[in-house]
Amino acid sequence: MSNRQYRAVEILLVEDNPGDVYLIREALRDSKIHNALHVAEDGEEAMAYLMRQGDYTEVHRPDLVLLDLNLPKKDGYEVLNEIKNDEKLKDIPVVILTTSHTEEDILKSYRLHANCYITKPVDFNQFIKVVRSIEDFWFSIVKLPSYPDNVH
Amino acid sequence: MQKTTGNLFNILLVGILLTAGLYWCSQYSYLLFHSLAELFSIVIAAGIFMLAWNARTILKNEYLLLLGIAYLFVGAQDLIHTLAYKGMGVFPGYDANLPTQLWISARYTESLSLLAAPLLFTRSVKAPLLLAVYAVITLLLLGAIFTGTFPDCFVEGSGLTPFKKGSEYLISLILLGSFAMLRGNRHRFEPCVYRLLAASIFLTIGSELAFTFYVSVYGLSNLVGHLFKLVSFFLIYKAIIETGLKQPYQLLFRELQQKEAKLERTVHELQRSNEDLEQFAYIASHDLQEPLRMVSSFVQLLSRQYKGRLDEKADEFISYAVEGAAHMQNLLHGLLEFSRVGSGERKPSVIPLHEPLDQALRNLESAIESSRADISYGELPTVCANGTQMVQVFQNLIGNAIKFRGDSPPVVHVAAEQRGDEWVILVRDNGIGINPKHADRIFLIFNRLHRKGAYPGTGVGLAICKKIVERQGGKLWVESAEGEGAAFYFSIPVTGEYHEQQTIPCG
Repeated sequence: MSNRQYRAVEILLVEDNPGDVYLIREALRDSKIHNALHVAEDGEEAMAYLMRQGDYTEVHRPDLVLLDLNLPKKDGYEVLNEIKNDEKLKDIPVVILTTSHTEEDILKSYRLHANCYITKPVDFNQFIKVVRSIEDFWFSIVKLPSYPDNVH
Repeated sequence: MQKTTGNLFNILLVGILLTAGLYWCSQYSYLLFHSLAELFSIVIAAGIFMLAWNARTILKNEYLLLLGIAYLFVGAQDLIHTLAYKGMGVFPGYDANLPTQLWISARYTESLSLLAAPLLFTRSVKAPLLLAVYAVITLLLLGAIFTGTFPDCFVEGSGLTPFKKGSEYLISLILLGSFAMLRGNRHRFEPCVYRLLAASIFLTIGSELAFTFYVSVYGLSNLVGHLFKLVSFFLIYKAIIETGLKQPYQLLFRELQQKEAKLERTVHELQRSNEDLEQFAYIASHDLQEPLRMVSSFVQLLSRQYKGRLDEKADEFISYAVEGAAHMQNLLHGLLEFSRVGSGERKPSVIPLHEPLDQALRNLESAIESSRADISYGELPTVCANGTQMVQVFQNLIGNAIKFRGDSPPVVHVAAEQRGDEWVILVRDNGIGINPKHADRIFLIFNRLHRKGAYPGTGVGLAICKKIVERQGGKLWVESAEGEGAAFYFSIPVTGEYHEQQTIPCG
């Protein structure tokens, strides 16, 4: 907890829709928690970011992943599966943030060890509220493991 | 299959015994052999007629009907031929020419009938008329023979005349022609009937050729000819038995079967197109949500960040766009839900009906509280149904009862009653009611009785309820009058005995 007061929380948003990226950025802008939002536009980019490969060798390990399911190249399930099967990454909380509210998607996500599943609210205000709640919940209420190597 | 083989074996056995018996007879007395062989074929010819005549309504095959009638007259001529045979002494003053002439006239009648029969596939002739025509022709032939106008066929001392021999060849040719005609129409016959008829024609040809060889009416080729003829008659008889008695289904209902198959195909195609449509509705409504959410979000963002910074008109336009997008979202959501009923559906299970009802009431808790609704229910049965979908049905019906309430707080009662082999569940309210003339419309998707804004909703709820109930083999209907509350009924089939509280697959 004390670590986090000295640095921004790192959020990796895996989302291919620029509109949603904008809305999430908008929702997080006025947040009382100092955050750094990074965006990966497809599954492969997300994995490269998490593995610190290619352009991402210097990036910080995210504290939270916001993951859409419907993604180009590598879909959300694959990304989720790879994160949760990677010893170094599996403890990063992954929040599924998607349009789908079908039971199959919900069940499949939790079976792959998603930390929580949220359907993007269709109502704008609700959407903003939900994004803020995610941030509030994961960074003010939940206690997460700390990573000294992540502090700069 | 085994039965057919058995039958064939029996027929062969009888045939061999018959042939052996007849041969033995011929050794003893050729006249006895001839009389017996002819009588057998005459009896069969009479049988052919009787069968075909009585089965003419179910034969539905004019070809076989014509053969049936023809063989009666062929048999009649054969009978006179037998009586006129050398040594019988029935027609004094006539020599071996008479039976031979009668033979030839009978064979002409037979072969020409076989040749003409396929013509009846294209036109229909009344059976009594055919009978009359054959009677007249036969009488004319007999008249010609007995008055001596019919060409001579056999001359004592010199044997068969060229007319007789030529006729046998001609008759064989006619028979070949009749086979060709039969072959051209083989699709109109069951395969086994076709084979019987073809075999009969070839045996008749064989019989004719055998007769061209004989010199004496008591010779071997005469014997073979008669045997072939007997068998050929029998095969026609079999064909008519097969067609008119044994296989009336195949022939009578072949068309029906084809129609049935066609119907089945149509049903199958309909089912598939229906599934395709449902899938389409699902995918469309699902995929349309995403861009619509963008439109909706950004017009809301626009209204939020630029309200008052543009002119009044712009604010008004934006508010219309926001409203429209919200409404469309509701519609899409409804369509999605509606099309999802039945897709990826779970198997129904045995559930006490109060469970989904309780769940529905929990889901409606805030609406019930805010409207101060009084909701009660009587004893409910255990049924075979999809629990999640039953929650939807109760939630929609009770939700509607609360939504369409009158001036006083809503009073809703749920009850069940067994009517015959189904349970009828009643959801009764004291709301604004429905004019009976609109009673059917309310179950159609997106159909609403009230103008937009009077009551919230998209007009999907009851359509979903109806779809769910009907998929479970029941019906959904309403009894109501305007201002007098509404009573919604839905039925669920009673399917066997259940053990309480068990969640086992059923149905």
